[in-house]
Amino acid sequence: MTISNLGFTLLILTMNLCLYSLIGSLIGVRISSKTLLKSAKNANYCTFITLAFSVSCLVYAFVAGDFSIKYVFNHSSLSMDPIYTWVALYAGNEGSLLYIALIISISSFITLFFMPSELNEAEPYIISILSGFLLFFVTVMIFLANPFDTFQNIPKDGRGINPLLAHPGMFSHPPLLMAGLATIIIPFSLVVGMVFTGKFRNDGLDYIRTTSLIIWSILGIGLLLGSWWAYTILGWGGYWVWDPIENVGLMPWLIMTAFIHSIIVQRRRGMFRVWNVILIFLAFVLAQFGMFINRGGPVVSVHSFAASTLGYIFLGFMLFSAIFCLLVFILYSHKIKSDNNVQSFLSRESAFLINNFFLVAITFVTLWGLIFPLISELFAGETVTVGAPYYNSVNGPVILALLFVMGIGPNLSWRNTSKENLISNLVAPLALLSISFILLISFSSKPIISSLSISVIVLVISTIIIEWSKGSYRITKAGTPWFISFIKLIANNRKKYGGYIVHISILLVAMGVIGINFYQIKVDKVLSVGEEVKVGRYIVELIEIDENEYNDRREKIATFLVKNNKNEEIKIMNGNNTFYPSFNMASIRAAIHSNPIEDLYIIPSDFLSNTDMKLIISINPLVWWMWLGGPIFIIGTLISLWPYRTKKG
Amino acid sequence: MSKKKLDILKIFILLNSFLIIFVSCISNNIDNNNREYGLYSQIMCPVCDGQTIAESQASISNDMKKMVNTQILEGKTDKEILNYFKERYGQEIISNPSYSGFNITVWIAPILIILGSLLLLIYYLRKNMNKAEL
Amino acid sequence: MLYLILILILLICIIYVVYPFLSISKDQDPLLDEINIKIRKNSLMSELDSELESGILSTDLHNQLKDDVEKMIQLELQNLDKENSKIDPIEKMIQIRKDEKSK
Repeated sequence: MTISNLGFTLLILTMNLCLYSLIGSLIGVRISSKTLLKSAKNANYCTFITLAFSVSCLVYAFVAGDFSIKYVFNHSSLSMDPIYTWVALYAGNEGSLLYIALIISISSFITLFFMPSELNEAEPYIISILSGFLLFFVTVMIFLANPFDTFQNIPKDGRGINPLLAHPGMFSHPPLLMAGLATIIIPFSLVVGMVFTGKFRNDGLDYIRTTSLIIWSILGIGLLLGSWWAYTILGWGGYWVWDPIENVGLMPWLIMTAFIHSIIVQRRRGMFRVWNVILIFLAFVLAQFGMFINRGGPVVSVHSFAASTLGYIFLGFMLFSAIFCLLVFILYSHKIKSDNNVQSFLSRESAFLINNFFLVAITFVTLWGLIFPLISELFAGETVTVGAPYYNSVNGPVILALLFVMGIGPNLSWRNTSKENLISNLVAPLALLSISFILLISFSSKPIISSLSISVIVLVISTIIIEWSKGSYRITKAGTPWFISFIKLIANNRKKYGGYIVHISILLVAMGVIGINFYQIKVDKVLSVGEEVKVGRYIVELIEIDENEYNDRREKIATFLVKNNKNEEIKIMNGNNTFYPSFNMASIRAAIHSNPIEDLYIIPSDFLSNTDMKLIISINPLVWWMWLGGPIFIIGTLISLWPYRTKKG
Repeated sequence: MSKKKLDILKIFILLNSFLIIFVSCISNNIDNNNREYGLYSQIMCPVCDGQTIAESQASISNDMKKMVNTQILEGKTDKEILNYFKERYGQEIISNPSYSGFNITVWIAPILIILGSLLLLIYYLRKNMNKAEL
Repeated sequence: MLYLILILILLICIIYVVYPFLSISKDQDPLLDEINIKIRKNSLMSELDSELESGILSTDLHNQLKDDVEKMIQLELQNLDKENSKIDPIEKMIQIRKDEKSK
């Protein structure tokens, strides 16, 4: 038996386990057999073993250089550094499906293992959905996209790994993003399970909250890492273009953001039950839509794996999911209606509702822009492009409104807020907003929205600082010093203050976005070796142009000396333009000098000769803060999830 | 002044300092308006995926950038320059759908739907607000 | 060698899947649901208490919200269906077969 045989056989075994688990759990709940249900659950647990070993087979094949397997041939070579095996695993269509299947089985295992007893009645349905979902991916692999497909004649060496993938961002961005999208199945299955039992009152909400937060943060970090990778490695100086592939990853995340917020309301006040079901259904269907677009959908992009039949399969699965959700909703939603209603417009429930509204609006606009070219072709026979400017101008104001609510919302109390409380909490932040707005529009010739954006950020920061100060101040009354009080405040209210920290991370990202979008300086310049150009606070001198030839690529390197306005040396850095003949692909690496105030970003755009080249130099303010948002986001999520020692009595 | 008021004043000053720092970071660029890149970001690169000629490093993008620059020097308006490209390459070369004909739906539809839903939401909330609560 | 690994995995899966049919299952505590609801009520109450301590809530609002939580929990307890322990039909089959064998 060869490694590829073993790997494939394990996939077939997995498929059988999924089938058994799916059918067993449904029959088990029908005939009320606890033994059959336990058996079906165990079968799901076993898929983790079989898939883990199947993935190990593929990894082994990579490390051992087994080029009889087509996938290994296509994504590695003898000269490839073994550490890139991790990336090669999910670099291609078949491998990424295997990776996703593994992730589903791991997360199903964890979800079922830690399932609280309140969800016992819903468990059979949860098992069946998890197994059914995994079954789909494994079946697609077995029949349409086999990672263990082999050649008759074994090639001596592989094609090598796509050079764009050999970067730290690629070690984390694709796996996190794919994992985040795939694991939406977890809260989805929990919610559907509870809806089926008619007990989607408040049981199991803590578990739903925990699982949703975890996958939401994974997806969020995956998205941010993608931006970071694009900015630092792709060398065109941007971080987001509202590309269809970016959009289909963003939309589920936006809906999940809405979900984790309105779940809070359901947990505390028993409201929004039906709305929460709608949200998770939307997130799930959008995630499947993303799969469809990614694998042979009608849109081509830097990301698409471009396999055509597979595209139809995923389209079919997306439609199946949508119909499933619709049926469940129609048949069961009446069982789960909330008993409570929003009592006042000036309440926190109301603020969460507005937050949800804006998030869904952004999702809708993004979806609309994405499919509009198809609609335009169908109905008006005209091909149009919907580019970044559309999304920026339509989504921009809504995002700003969302940030504004992020500042105001936490100041509203549950149920109802007295007008006096509201005014006293908001007078300072609103004053600061107005002052900063007036100052900025007086001195800036930029569009008003840029000044408004900064002012809104000032408002949100001030609301957070004021709330934290008030809270810490009350604790200092007991005699503890400020710093300890502050820590105590966070420790005693982890859910809320973890949330605040996450909000801060969003503000940091917003700062970076505002900086680079509105206040960028960009200059095209042709330089000869020895010449220099002044851009912003810097003087850039072109020192040297080199050309290197390797057996897999041709590199042209430009070396720059960066000086400040007083002609003092800051640093020497390189940018390059590399061509990979076997992939027929060129990649550009920009030279970046980054500090918290701004980035100096030098793109070696065109090597005109041995001595001349065209550069695109930009000053990108505040981008450093955007990346700082990542770790802060993780810290905030961890604090929010940190469990309390359960009090008895 | 009470201690509490003093602390609040400290926060106020802290925030204003933050604002001043923030603004000084970007003050260098406050008056910079880049017409070339404004136009570049409205023209798609014909051979790239989803990038405008502002971002793309392809040689055809560089050629198109030169075309734009030449026309700017000739004194043409933004509209004339964009029309030039539209005539040569078709509407899809412009990164934004036009504001005319069927394409206006891309702009109008979201605004209408969002406003409409907002009104519906407010109406629905109002209706349920007076129902007896749990 | 690889055959060995496959057979091992196969065995593990089969054993794990068949195991529930061979062992005696423990009975579910019918009062567990009620206990879980009470635990959740305690956790919500203690959250409200700590928010009162931190000054996020006023005393009035705190009492009001506590009342809301009480009502919400009462409703759940009222709606709670106490399930009678049902006899697992598959266990019944196994028991019948066991009885036949021992005769």
